[in-house]
Amino acid sequence: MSLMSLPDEILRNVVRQLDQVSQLVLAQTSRPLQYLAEEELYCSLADSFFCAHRQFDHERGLRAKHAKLLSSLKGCDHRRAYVKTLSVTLYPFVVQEPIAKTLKLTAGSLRSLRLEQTATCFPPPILSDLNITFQNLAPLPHLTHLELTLSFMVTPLLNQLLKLAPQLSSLTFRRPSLPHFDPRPFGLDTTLVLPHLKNFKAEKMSKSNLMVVVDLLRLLPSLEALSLSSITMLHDSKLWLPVVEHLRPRAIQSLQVGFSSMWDFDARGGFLHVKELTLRWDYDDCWFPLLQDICVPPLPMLESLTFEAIQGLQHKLLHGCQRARVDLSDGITSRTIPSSLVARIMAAPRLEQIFFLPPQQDYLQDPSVEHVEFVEIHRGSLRESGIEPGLALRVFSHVLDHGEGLQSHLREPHPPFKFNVNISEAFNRF
Amino acid sequence: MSAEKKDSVILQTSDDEQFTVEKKVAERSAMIKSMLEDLPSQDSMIPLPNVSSSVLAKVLEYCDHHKNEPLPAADADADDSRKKTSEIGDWDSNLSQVDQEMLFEIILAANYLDIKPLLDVGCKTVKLTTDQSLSSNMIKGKSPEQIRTLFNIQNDFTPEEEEQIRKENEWAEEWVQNRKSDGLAC
Repeated sequence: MSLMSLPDEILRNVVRQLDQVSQLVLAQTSRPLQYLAEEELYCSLADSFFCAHRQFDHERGLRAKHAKLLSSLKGCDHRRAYVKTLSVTLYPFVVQEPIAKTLKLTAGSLRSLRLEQTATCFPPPILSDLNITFQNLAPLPHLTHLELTLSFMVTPLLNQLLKLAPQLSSLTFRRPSLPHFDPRPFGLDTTLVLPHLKNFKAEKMSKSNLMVVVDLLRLLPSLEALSLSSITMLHDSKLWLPVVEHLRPRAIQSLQVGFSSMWDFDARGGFLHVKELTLRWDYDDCWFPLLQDICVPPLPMLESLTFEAIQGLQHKLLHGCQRARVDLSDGITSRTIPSSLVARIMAAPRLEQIFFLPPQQDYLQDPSVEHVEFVEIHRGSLRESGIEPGLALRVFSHVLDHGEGLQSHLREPHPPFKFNVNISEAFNRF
Repeated sequence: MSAEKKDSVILQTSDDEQFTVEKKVAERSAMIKSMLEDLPSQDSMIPLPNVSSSVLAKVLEYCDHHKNEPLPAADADADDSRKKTSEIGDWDSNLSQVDQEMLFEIILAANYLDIKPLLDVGCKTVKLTTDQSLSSNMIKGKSPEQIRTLFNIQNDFTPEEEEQIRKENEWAEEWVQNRKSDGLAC
């Protein structure tokens, strides 16, 4: 038996484990391995190729490199088909022509496209280049994921891309975090229909963008998951009301929004299909919520509730719920939840778990974070440990293992919810 | 049937050898686990026509060592989470002590029996074998001939085709080298 007698599926797994240098060498060994190695190579390398632009890249003959890439794509159908993800960072000093050509060559196979701008000011020739590039985009028949972090040309670009990508299922639109950035309003072609778009994220929205968000939401009849965030100080603005009122009757299952009174889940109803709700705390830390301040929305389908970026998780938030404390025999510490919160939890009959996540925004991506503490509340019984049924709250650690740049998400060695075996049954006894 | 027998299962290999195995060990294989769920409770003989006894012995050694670890999620291969993750553990690296033929047999068996962690260990072991062969010659600028020899791969390229592929992928080679000299991961 030799390596070549293994099925392609397994060979692909082997190739995936190799670094890119080894993949390059492997591509030159035989035809079957060339296809497998280039499939992996072009998928991941083209993705990051345009993100490597820096001023010093120019000095190394960036143009020549782009020309080589383009020539290898032009001459070979299978390589073009391998490019599934393209991530383009737009720099003001980079001529856009190769980006335009690569986009054109790979448009037929792309599944995911990410465009990000890095500066507020682009010289007129570059802007003009970009304009031409995006006006001449080819159809993107298989594109399902689109991520835009842009401030200029938003209107033509967004409209153009939405038109060209009929299979789009996920859209992220983000306002760039750039200094001296003046977000201008953008418009939307309201005749567009996006029947497949189920997942929409609008991040760091400014005042002028909020109405466009409503326009966009109207074009998404199948929307299932929505994440909205705005620039600081806009959370409680009445400008949010049209967005909130538009969403209230929609059949959204997953909702991530800022911690704001605007949502008023208690009094104004709606959101009847939401199963997962994340409330982000985006304010500065001059005030922080205590557990009894937290509203558990009485949503009939809600199964999972997450409070994200809660300041002072360990020392401040938990201060309000240390009324009774029990140390279980295996070293797990639990605390009883205040009755006010229990009553609120009862109003969400399907709610199984509440998570409190710490303030780090990118705690799963940040390689410097090695130890993250979470708080989880599960409905459950403590009877196993000789304690009456109740809601158990527990602080525990997740250790992030950063092997080769990726992290696995590991829990502590002991089972975290040992006392929480039969959640539903226990809760029925309440 | 005694309680002891209920907790075990008999696996019959392609060369008609029978292995009596603790259920917990056999259930590391998603395929066997699902077969056991479907089998009548008194019948616990499972034929494995695609696995020989020598290979099954190795596979069971792995399963026994890992029997107390949590099983991977059913959709663990739905994303790239297993790609280039942690290195092979000390015990698992013993797998690389087997000859190449046995290694490929183990990989095939892991695939057939649906033991994803073992499949990963097998593929990573091939990777290590490749890395070692390449690194001994310092990788850069070396001919792919070494890999062909190592894995008994037939060269179906003409010298011109091989040169063309090298040229066409030159941009990537330069890019990888630049990234390395910048200290960036490739």
